[in-house]
Amino acid sequence: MDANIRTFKDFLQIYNNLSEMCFKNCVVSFNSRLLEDSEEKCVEDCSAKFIKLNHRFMAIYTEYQQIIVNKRIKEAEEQANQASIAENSVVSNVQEESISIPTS
Amino acid sequence: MAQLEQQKLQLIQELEIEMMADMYNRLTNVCHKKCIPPVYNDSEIAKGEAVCLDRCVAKFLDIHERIGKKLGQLSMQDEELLKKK
Repeated sequence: MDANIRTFKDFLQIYNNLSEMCFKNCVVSFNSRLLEDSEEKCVEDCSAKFIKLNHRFMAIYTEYQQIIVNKRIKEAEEQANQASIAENSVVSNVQEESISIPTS
Repeated sequence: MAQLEQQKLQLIQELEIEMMADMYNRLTNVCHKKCIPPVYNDSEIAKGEAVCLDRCVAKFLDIHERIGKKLGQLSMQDEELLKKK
């Protein structure tokens, strides 16, 4: 799937989540078909806050993902180092053994 | 290429339809929770419940439209900011 299409799909998902959440939290009375003034303001605040939160989540997430990726790279490097050290020591052991064959 | 554009448009339309279906499901769930107390003595819909459902759906759709407009405004603002850069 195209990356843009994926972004659009996620956007629509966020849109629906936001609508549901703000409705649940802001609408408490059913005296009329129209939104009360307090409910309108609540929805404005709710949606603005949600959007700011969303931006913040993305920023924090990318920051931590970077830290995790760097950690994994380090661990992989260390593993590779240790593996090659182990290999070298095996090779040198074999060489020592072949040199010290008894001549009797 | 016109065909690619056509395919993209179709995909976007499909996603919108999916979004509407999802919205409908959420709407029914939320209004059910808000308007129908979980006491099932009677299988008929009471008048109060019916009125509540009517108003609930109206309000939900109103909020959905407002938020849609707001998000549309924001994405236009973002686009303009990107263009300026």
